[in-house]
Amino acid sequence: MKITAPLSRVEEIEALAAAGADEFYCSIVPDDWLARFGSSATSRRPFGNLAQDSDLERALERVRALGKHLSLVMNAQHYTPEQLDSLLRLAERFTRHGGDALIIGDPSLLALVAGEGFDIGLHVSSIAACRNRQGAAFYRELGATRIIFPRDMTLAEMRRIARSAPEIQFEAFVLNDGCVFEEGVCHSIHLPGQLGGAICMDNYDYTYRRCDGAALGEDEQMALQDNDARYARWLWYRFGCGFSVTEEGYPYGPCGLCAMAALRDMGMTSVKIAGRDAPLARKEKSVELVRRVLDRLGAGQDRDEVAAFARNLRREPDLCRHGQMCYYPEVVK
Amino acid sequence: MKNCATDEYPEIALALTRPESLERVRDLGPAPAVTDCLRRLNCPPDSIEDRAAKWPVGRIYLGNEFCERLIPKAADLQQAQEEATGQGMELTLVTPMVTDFGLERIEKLLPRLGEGSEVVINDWGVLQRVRTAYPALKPVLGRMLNKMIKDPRLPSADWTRLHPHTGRQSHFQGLLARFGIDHLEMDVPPFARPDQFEAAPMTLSVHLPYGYTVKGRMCRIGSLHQKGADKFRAAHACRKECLHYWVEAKRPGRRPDAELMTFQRGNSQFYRHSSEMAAALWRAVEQKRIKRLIFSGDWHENYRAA
Repeated sequence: MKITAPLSRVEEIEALAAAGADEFYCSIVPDDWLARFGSSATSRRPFGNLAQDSDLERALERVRALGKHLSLVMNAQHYTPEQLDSLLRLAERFTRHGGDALIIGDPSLLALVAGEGFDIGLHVSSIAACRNRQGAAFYRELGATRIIFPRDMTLAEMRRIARSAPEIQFEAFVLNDGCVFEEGVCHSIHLPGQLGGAICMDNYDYTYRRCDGAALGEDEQMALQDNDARYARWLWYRFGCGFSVTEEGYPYGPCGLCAMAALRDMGMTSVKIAGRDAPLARKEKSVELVRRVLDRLGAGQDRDEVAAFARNLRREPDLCRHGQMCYYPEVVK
Repeated sequence: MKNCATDEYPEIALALTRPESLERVRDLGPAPAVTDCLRRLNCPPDSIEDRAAKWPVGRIYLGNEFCERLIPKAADLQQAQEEATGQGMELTLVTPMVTDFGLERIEKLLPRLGEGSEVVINDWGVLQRVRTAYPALKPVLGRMLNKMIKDPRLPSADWTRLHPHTGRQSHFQGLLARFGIDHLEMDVPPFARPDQFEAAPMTLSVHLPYGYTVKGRMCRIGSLHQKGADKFRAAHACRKECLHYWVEAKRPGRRPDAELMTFQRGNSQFYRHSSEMAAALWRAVEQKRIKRLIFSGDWHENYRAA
């Protein structure tokens, strides 16, 4: 099982490889893209992209020299025809320079790139929300070689899909960057902070009402308030415990470290660390966390011992015990 | 009046999540007027222009787009089919994004649909199953797979121009044609213009009077009766609290007249069309760009459960 790490600058490659990354993924806004289209919508984010076209070639050279792999992210949910044409040219350039895979969220783009017959892997982004076996068959038919599972899937759900399609690879989230809603069907924009930011973190006041028109009873109100308080707490975990880190610099937040044995056993090709726009130190420590667990599994250590080791890495086992920081809380239970 | 679309008006569909909602309109007789149906379901009538008040409902949409726990049971589907047929209406099965668990539930319904019956698809896996195992059924692309920016907080139309919606995009239409789809649904986006309802050569259906912005797998209200770590997790259990509560969402400090009315129901967030958005929609209706209007029958902020 490989470790797939995020990149936002070419200079990060050596450090992340030294920390234990096997594969990298990055995004780029082509030099002429902003002028043509007025947005940075190649990969859904204005930040965390490589700075210029030439960085992509440099990144590929460095990754190749280390014997690692590099994937290029094109994972907006949808594009205009002109943007698709531009991305097709970018895909062709990336292939020509020896790129390993494209990570694609829009099925139109997937079909378009597959139709060109480029010699490159086609990874279905988590944005494409492949949540069932028939979905895997659909994307396989479009030309996918790997499916990156979306967040909020159970291990059993992923295992079932992976077994149904042994001819393709699968990748699952293991660390960082939770999303509250289903990002594959989110039709909002992460607005600037002064306009509200991400819709899931905006400062809404909520007023509950009964659908039968009756007033809420006192017990109901208390239960709803309690649920909301727990939800606020869950959100805090979901967003990296206030985006904090341990004394050693290990990130808090969504984590699947103790589920790695299960992920390996179901044949997962790779585990994904999220967070292209994070600082290098956070990325390094994230890779280090995953590597420490994976090495123990690779050395044949007992899976329960490895899981216990994983839960103690941050030295705060209580954070793990209640499962709210977990990608796969069923392991904790 | 005939039930289906004519030169005068588009086809009218009534979307129902709860099969029992059909009982409320049963005594209205065949091809009931849309305003009569909506009144029975407590749907605010201001979403309809006067000239459309008597347009007849020709189709029932049964099911829910947002949660696989709300997929109807086979018995409910059969009852709805009988009710719809008795009132001279067609029936469309609505399906959500699903896990394999949800797909199994849908699988129990598909063989019960007659040849040519419509299935609204909001998951590519459901489409794969329908087209390979039930080719006689007619898939319609749901609004979840028809991508566009529908953020009710946007301060201006400039934000949406950067992301034109997928339904008009030629490559996407080619993809749909490859998989046997010639009919798609959309929401009315904030700052809508009549030309945005152009989807030719695809047939277009439009939802009203609400749009959806985002859906989650985790369900906040659905966690209400779950304990501790069982709350807010993938595949958590629920008591279908979404059928009993809805939540108005307001942003303090923002001008109320500059914000679309927003609410959450179940795992999803919705906005109510503004009068400007509704005007753009009705203009597009006049321009014959829209084949079908889908009225939210029992999934809105005023529905009163029996």
